[in-house]
Amino acid sequence: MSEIALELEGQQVEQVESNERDRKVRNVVSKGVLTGAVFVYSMSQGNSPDASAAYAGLALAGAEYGLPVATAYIGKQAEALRGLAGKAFEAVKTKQREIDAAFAEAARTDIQNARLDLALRLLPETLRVRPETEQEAQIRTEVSSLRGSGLELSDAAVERGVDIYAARANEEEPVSLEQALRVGMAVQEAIEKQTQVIGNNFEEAE
Amino acid sequence: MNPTMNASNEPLQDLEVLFLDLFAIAGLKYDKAHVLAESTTNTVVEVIAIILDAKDTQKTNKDLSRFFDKYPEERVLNALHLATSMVMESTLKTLENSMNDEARKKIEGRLTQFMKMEENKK
Repeated sequence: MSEIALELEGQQVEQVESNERDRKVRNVVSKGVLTGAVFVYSMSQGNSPDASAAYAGLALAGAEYGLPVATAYIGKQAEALRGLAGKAFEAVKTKQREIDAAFAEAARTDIQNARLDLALRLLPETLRVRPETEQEAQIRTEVSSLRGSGLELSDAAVERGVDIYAARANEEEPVSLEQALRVGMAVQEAIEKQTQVIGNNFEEAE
Repeated sequence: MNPTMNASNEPLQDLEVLFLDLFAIAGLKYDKAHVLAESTTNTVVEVIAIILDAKDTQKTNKDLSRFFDKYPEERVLNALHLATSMVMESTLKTLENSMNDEARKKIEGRLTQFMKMEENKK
């Protein structure tokens, strides 16, 4: 190839490249003008900046890639919206799940409590009784011994005796458990007589 | 019947006044309340004597000071507290079906008042 031919070819290439640059610049400028114009117009129509940007983007996509791409752009926006809606929906669902879980937990607790109550009520009496204390064992032994010796010691008398024993435990002259039980028997006897008198008189008074 | 005298025509002791009040609150008629107040007081004094292991259980002497003269104050008050609560517990059980909640509360209030009064005397 001659030098002239080469020079011509170089000029042509340069020209093509220059033309291509011009076209790109024009494109960028025109797209910039287009999107800017769309954005400004949209804003002047009272749309929000986000919506206006979306319209400008739509116009740019249409100018750049033609209708199919613009449609795809719209689809993408819709998808984004769907995504947002999906996220919002998911958040609501998550919240709902949390609420449901809280209700379920509360219900479970209620049910557990109810089951516990029921179990306690159904539990055989013998299993519910707490272990006997040392003092209770002492009382039981003493009562058995006194009853074994022929003393007619009623449960009520034992109750009185134990009350007396407890009340006098801190006194300067505390009584023994046996003494207290014997005193309890005498006290119970006196009280029973009195109760009888009251019962009879009250009935008459009515 | 003289309101300051008991059923045996003796001056009312503090304990008798207490029981008279209690039976009146429970709904007994005045003369019945008087008879029962005296009888209940006798029982309480008897129970106090039993608890204190006192030989003097004469029922006509309802003055608690004889116990205070003979035994430590703490012991007598303990015995008085025990005897009153034991006797009244049985009495209230006997009267349970005939009393309403209001009467029961009044009786409990009066008993508490009496115990405080006795403790403050010493």
